[in-house]
Amino acid sequence: MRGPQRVPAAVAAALASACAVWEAGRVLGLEPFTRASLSMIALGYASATMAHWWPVAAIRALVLAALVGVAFAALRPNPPDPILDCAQVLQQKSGASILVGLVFAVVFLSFVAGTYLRGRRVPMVATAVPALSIYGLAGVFTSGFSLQVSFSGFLFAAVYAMAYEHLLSQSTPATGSFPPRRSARSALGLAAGYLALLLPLSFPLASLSQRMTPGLTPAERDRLRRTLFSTDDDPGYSRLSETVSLAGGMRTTGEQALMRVKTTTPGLLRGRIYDVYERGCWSQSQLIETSIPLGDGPVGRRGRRAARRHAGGLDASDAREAAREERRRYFTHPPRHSRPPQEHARRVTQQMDLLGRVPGSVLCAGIPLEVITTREDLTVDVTGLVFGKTDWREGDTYTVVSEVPDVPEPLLRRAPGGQPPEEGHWIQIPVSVAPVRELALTIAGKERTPYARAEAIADYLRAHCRYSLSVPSAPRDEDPIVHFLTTGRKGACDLFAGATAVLCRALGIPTRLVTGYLLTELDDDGTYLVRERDAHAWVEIYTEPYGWIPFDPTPGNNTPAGSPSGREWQAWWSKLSPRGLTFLAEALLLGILGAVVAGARGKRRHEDASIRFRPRASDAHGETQHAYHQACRHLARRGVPRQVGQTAEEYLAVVRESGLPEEIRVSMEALTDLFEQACYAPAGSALPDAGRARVLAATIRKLPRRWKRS
Amino acid sequence: MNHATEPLSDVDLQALAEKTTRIVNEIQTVIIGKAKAVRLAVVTLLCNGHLLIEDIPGVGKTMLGRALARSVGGSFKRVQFTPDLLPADVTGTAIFNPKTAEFEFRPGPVFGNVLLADEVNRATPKTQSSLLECMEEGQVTRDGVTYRLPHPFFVIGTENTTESQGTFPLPLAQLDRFLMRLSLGYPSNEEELLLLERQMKRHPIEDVKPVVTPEEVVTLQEMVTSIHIERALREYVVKLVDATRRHSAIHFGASPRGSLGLMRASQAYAATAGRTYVIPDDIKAVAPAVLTHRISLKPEVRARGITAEGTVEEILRTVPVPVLRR
Repeated sequence: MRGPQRVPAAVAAALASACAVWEAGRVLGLEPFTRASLSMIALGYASATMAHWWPVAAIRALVLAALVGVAFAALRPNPPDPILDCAQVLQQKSGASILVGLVFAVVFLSFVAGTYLRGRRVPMVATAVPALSIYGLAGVFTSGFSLQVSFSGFLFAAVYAMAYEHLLSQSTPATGSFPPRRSARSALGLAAGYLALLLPLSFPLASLSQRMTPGLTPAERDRLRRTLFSTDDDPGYSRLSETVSLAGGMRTTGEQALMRVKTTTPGLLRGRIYDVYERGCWSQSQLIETSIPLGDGPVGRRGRRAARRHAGGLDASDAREAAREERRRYFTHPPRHSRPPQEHARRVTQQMDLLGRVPGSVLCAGIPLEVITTREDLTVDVTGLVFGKTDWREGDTYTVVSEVPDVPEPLLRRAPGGQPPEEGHWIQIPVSVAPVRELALTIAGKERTPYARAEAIADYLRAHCRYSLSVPSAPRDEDPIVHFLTTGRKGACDLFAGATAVLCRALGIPTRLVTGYLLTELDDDGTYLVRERDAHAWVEIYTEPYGWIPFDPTPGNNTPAGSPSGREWQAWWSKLSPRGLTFLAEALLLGILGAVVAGARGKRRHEDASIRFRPRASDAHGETQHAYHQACRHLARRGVPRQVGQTAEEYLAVVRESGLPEEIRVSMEALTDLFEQACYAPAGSALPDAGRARVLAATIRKLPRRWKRS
Repeated sequence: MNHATEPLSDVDLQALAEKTTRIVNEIQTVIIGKAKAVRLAVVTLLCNGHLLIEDIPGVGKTMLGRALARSVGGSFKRVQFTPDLLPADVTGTAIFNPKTAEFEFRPGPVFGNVLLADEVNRATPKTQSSLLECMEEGQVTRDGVTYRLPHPFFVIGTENTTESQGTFPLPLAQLDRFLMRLSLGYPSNEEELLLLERQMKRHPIEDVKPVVTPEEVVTLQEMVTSIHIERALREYVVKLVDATRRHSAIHFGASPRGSLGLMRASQAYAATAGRTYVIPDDIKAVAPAVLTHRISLKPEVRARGITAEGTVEEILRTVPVPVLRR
């Protein structure tokens, strides 16, 4: 590849690698790590392409040093705000971090290789190939539209730059002196042509690996993702553990799919409730921990018969059907006082299909009333939530009917406080957070009712604290919530919810922390997909007479990860395709043709400016020139073209040597004379004989098509 | 310079062409072969410019000057430039005449129609500049008195490039003042054979007769300015010179003096061909001689074997020739 093409090829490779790393990082949920490596890569590539300029070589050295330095900096104990927390990364997902490390190694090697290859004249665009394949691989695991958008965005810039540079390198220095307007236009035309040609190819290129893995249903994709990225460790509250620790560090943003939920009501899924907060940790007190086994409800009608049949040895399909029919329906019979009044309650039916190992909580929107499942080890606790002793496994399914409070906000704001009938430590706060009492009074002392106070607290938190997945660690002797409210001011949903709960409790409002999941991702088949990153924490406050009302103080889109814009894009794209995609492809194809033709014509015009011309046919000069032009074109088609820098005389010399028949040569000589006279003679001189010129041109045109230059 | 408005009549033009041809032929009796070089030399004379010949010794530089001078009926003067040559030796000195008890101005060699300045690069810059001043101004001032140089005044400077010891090479700014730079080179074997034959008994220079008078040469010079050159061709000239400035291998391109010189030379060339108008071939024919010595290459390209001649050729090949329309 020639010199000027190296730069845009490097740019293309850099952008491709950057996008690949970005997507891989997003898939695996390592946002700060991705950011850091991206900025390093970008700087590195930029400096590699301009290395002949000495300040940039200095920048490159700086980048490499910074990369090494950052890695070391991240290994410090208790960094206040780690951008590259290697220890935690390795802790969380060894498989994922290995893969990301590989990706980064590939990118880095391509950077190094590119610099090395520059002297070897191997095209640097080859380094974009691994990046492209990684793109496709990443596309297998994420259905994100942002992947395609970012990819096409990078292609726009990179291909355009490549084509434009290619065009400029083709023009000789001499022709560079042409009027800038014309050359820029033709250059743009050609660049647009290249771009339009390659753009439709880029989509199949990028998603090649996707296409090659045919018919991956969402469930199969989930399984594939899980086999690569599963770990057994417990990353905290998102797994509905017994305690919720509010320590500093990075919050998980795992993309692993946990279950599919078929429901008409998106929203919160309650999983576990905590009532005690001490030493930076939410946990369940003994009062609410105890649970009783869920009674046996009426079994399905054909259940026992099916069980008997199953014991007799049936084939696979019958056995499956039998198994499905063995589901049990359980009724929880929650006490009347713990439920909202009937006029403000709504029943919601949800069906969950498990896609992985989830702790055995029965997740539901409100208070579970009925659970239909094949399990037999369910228990119900004081708060009304249903648990199983063992985890749910992949393939399990259950249906739950629950009751959610449906109270309009004005009523909520007027509802007075009260004492919950359940026993539990609903207003307990430890000594270590005593300082927040004053703060709570300042924020919400003016409000009268629990809900209004909670709203005031939530507003305060939204205004003064920032949502972030990487939470600064509190000093050893300071409470995390106090640190969050005073110094850190950065936290994820667990800190927002925990702070809200503590502040409400400081005002005497019975509050409890709830963890669970948030339903946001609507899939193609109408079900909601719940991923690890949809784990969420919120609070419930007690009001009379509506009972425990869920309240979510976290700002933003209320999940630890996932960009709102990504979801919007997803929705828009799903509306657009597939019909929209076809239309887009057709428009692009038409655009290609037009741009290529325009660009080609522009280029030809640029080169042939000296050969082609549009003489005015009316006067003698114009006619003579036209005749000459025709003759030249005719001879050019026979293999004797006129070059750009050739004068008429020089062309005549070429014609003489080309072995044309005698009469053609003679005619051309005479025609050249007339042409020169027409072109260069002063205005007052004799008019050229246009008629004779026409005759001569006609003679030349008689040259047979089959004549070949000897 | 103003472009003469009335076109040359055919008769005038015939006369112009014919006289030029006669001069060329006369010179060719002495200089065997080298038709193009001789023609270009005559063209330089017609443009009122000056010629620089860069060559190996003994190929006929002096002969060319002498033949040219004799064929136009002018006087021929020759100066051998040496490091100890003084400016006064070039322009003329004031000598005290005891009889009249006054300083008399003895004109130097510049007071001739054709001056051959041999090995210009061997003299000191001061002497070089005195010559160049004369070329530029056409007069010499001494002791407050201005002496005009004769018309036509034609300088043929020579540079011997084989030895660079003890030379003061002409800088680019001063090379620019010469309209053309030629190189005669060795004759071919046949030409050398012919040369030996011709000079067997007596030197042919003795037989060169003036075919025109110096006044006629001045008239011819004026007529050349009225050769028609189309606007598109003038643009072509400018484009060529512009290309020399933009070429990637060239450090400094030709100056506007170069474009002016190119235009003039192409007009004169067309006249010598018997045409009242310039065609692109004329421009291409004179361009190498006019432009090559005005450009300087970048230091790093010389190592790659790129020469100024090659660059100019490339430019001529790639700049589109105008095929204009009215």
